[in-house]
Amino acid sequence: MKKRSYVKHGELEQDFELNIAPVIDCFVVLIAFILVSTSFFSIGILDAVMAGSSSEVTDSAEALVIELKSDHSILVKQGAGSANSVRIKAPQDRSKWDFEKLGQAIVSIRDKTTDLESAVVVADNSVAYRDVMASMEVVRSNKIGTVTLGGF
Amino acid sequence: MKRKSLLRSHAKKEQLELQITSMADVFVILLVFLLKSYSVEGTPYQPKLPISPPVAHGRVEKSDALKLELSAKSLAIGGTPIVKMTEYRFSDLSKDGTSGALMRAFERMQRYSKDESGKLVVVADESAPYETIKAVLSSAANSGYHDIQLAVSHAN
Repeated sequence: MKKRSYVKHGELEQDFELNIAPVIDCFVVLIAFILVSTSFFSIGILDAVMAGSSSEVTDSAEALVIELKSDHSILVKQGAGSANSVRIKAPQDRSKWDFEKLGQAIVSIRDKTTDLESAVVVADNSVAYRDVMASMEVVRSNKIGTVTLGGF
Repeated sequence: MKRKSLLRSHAKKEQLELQITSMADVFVILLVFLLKSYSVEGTPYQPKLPISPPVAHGRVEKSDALKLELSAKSLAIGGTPIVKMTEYRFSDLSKDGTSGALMRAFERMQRYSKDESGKLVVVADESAPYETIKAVLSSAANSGYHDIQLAVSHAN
């Protein structure tokens, strides 16, 4: 009789329910961790291709050169002897740049030139990094694949 | 007597156990979604210096390359502050546009590091002047870093 009760006891022990409350606790902690860690900013990568000096680059017939001046004006040059040249005046708000006109200038030069594939962005020393990157974005959005940094 | 038994059955019904299996299902789906979006949004990175990189459309690339961080007051390589800056400017800029202190730091890094890929990721604050960016790029290129990348904050 004693043995039988022992077997019964064993059978009962195997008939259990999985306690998923701690599993849910783990999930909650894991989700909280992921939500917190996504607040770290995620970075993208751009290749920093360096061109030579501005004058050296301008001599090349095909190069599109974009010069960001410290007074927030932009000079766009292209072709031998800067045949296609556009000067974009600084907007009235001197803290901003007229990137819209820069885009239009690039389009008009691109229409005149058949094989415009690369551009060089040159900036004065005091021009902020964000403005250099913004101008590179404008160039890239106008279907010019290779954008290099100049002025070295 | 009849009323009493009714109350009892009502009390029994209220003693229902919470069905947490469906809640676990929801958590699993939420977790999978977060993990998926986590891997798509770019390379998560926590800089050691207070930096706000410029916003641009950069490509997503998981890179273990050496990272150079540039803030208004300091320049760090691999998370270690190396050069003190004064409002984003080097105090020892040479005529060729390089920084002596930065060049020496690069030399030390190359001497003791096993990484020979020549890769460098520049994480610079968006307010840094172009002169400083040029100095960093020139110093890095002169020190043998031939694959230099600029880190940007995702435009989206």
